[in-house]
Amino acid sequence: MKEITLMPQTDFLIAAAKNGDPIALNQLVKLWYKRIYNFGYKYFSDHDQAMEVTQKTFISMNKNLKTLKDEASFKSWLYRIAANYCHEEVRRQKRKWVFPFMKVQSKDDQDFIQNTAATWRESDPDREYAQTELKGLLKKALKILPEEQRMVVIMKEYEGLKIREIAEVMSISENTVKSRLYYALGSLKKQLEQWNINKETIHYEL
Amino acid sequence: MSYKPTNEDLMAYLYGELDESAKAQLDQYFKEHPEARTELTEMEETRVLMSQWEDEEVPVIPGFIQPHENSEWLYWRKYVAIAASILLIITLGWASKFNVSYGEDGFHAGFTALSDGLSMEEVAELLAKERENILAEVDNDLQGLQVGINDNRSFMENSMERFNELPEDQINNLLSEQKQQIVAEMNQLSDKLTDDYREVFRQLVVSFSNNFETQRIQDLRNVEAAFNDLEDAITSKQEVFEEALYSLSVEVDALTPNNNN
Repeated sequence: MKEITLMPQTDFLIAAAKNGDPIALNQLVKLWYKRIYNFGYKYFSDHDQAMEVTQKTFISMNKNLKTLKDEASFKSWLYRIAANYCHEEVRRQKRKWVFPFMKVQSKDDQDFIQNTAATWRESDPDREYAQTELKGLLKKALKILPEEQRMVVIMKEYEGLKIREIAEVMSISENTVKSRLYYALGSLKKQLEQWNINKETIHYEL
Repeated sequence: MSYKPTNEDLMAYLYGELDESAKAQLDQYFKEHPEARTELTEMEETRVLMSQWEDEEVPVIPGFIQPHENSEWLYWRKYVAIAASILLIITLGWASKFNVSYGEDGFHAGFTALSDGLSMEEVAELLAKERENILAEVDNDLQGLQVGINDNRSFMENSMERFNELPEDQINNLLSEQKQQIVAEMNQLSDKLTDDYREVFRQLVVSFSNNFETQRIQDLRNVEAAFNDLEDAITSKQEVFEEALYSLSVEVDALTPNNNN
């Protein structure tokens, strides 16, 4: 699997940005913006929410970079900020449920997920598979996971954090991280099987 | 003692984060338990499937402008703004002569120099002056009225005196003149009234006679019409009677030969 190591120039950039170098700060943002955006996007499956979280994360980074003591832990520190804003965004969305009409999009998403699952079970998988984008299904499979499992999977599978780093970001034990990964992969496997998405169908399509 | 890896061990193995000794132990375990190896392979395949979701491209990466140079100013800016606002308010208040004070008489605020109100004594003095003025005016009016009454009275007394001084025959002449004048006016009025009444009666009689004549002619016509009707009725009855007589005579004639037989 892909393993994203801390970019070699990051240490230098962090040190320079902490000393108030705006160019270094902008470079740091450029280096990490895509990663944080994709982290948010995979968590919410929504561009606007991902952008919201990304922008808040980098504003917070800009504001609090001086308080970062260990530059080596920048990656965990940055993902912790992003994860906190993700949780905040989820809470904000839940509060909106007080007025159901304000949450139309998410409700539609859930209905769509359920409808898609039903369609894939009942009809010809090959034909349906040809019509539906794989990416959309993977997105939905990920969204079905409970929030804490989803976040762990994203950090591990897409962001390449080590189990120790994930534990640090989420303030949980390494064993909890492993346990969540185990159950999350089990659920994903089951879900993809239900939709008849496997190595063969992927290769067929590719 | 048989070794069985935990789910956590499997995950650490899957992601290559297991130390060498534990990894060797698990490798050995998989050789002995191929079903466990299969489970791990399936999870590996799931990871491969999930990795098909590529990264999204970020629309725009914003640049951050670091306001280091002005950070001190940014911090103090709001306080300077508040101080400037207060100074502006004070200056405007001073320029517009706005005054505020609070004393025994209460709270005062205004745009001109403040002055205390009148004291109780000053108010009482003003009221007393006003009262004197009103009384003086009333006195003046009363005196004016008194003078007017006195004038009228003296004029009347003078007139009475002059009237009493006139001789009796002159008074009688005056009275008879007045009397004749009144009688003449009454006569004129009477004549006028008489003429008016005569005309009214005349018109009344004329209209009555006209009406009476018209009515009489109408009545006569009605009588004439009644007579004509009567005549017609008599004529018709007579004809009926004659016909009846004729038919009777015919019947009698018809009966007569039979009787003869």
